[in-house]
Amino acid sequence: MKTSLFILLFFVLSFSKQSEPVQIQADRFEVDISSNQFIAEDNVVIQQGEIMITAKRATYTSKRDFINIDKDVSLKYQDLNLKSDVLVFDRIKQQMLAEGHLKVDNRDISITSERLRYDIDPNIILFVGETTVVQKKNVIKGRNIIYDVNKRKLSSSEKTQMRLESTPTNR
Amino acid sequence: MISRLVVFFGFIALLFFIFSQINFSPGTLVKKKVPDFVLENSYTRHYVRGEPKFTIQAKRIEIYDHRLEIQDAVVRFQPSIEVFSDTMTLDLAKGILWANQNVMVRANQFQYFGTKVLYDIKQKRFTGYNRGKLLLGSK
Repeated sequence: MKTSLFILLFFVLSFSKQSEPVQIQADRFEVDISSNQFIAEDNVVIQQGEIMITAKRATYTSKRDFINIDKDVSLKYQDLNLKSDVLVFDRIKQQMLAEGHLKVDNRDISITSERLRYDIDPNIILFVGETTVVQKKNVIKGRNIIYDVNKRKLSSSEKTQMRLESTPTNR
Repeated sequence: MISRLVVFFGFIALLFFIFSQINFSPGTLVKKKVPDFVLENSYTRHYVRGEPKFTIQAKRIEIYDHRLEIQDAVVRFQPSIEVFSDTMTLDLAKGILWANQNVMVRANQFQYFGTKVLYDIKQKRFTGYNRGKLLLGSK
């Protein structure tokens, strides 16, 4: 009996994943209450817990609980800095998709790529397309690279090749 | 005879001078200064051309034709939309509400805080000006 209750509780807790409240500041808002949609424009600042995103525009549609953020997007979360043209924040999955002039900085690691998917909860980023990782004098080039932010570990799928190009130090 | 003419033309010149000094401003609409009615600590129900009714709970309402000047109030629209503000102007003819100080709009999924909001009653939309803050609740 106890075991079944525990299993039931586990399933209830796992599937009742709620999106955290988000605070959005902007110079101007256009809000449609009947459809639960809004557009925030100019000096947009989005905050959810430790995550802070700045941009020029953000739009929200309640149907999919997505915040579409575009124009000079900049994200800061702990030691991570992300810059891109477009960023889509999926509040339910706590996942972000970004593309366009993409650059991620984490301490001494700098990564540029075509697109990324950032899962906030495990703090793991999947870089899709041509990706370049620069750490001090080392340069790693490859496709579809996975970066574990907490462990500071890079990995890649089977078919992907990673090339390490160490730059000799000038003495 | 000449002195009479001098007096007459002098009088005409004086009138011309007086009228030239008067500055006729273009016909700007001036809001009526005295309200038709004043309600204090009131709770009222309103309708805007067949739209669902809304209520105003206010410390003071001044009524001028189709315009209401409201102080320290909460306007409740259906379903569950509330606008709080220190000062509001409700244009019943246009179906719009201007909220100007310490504004809070509370709707189903979010709360908005700002200093200047234009709410369209029929469209159930609003525009927030002068930088505002929107809290998007959990879903």
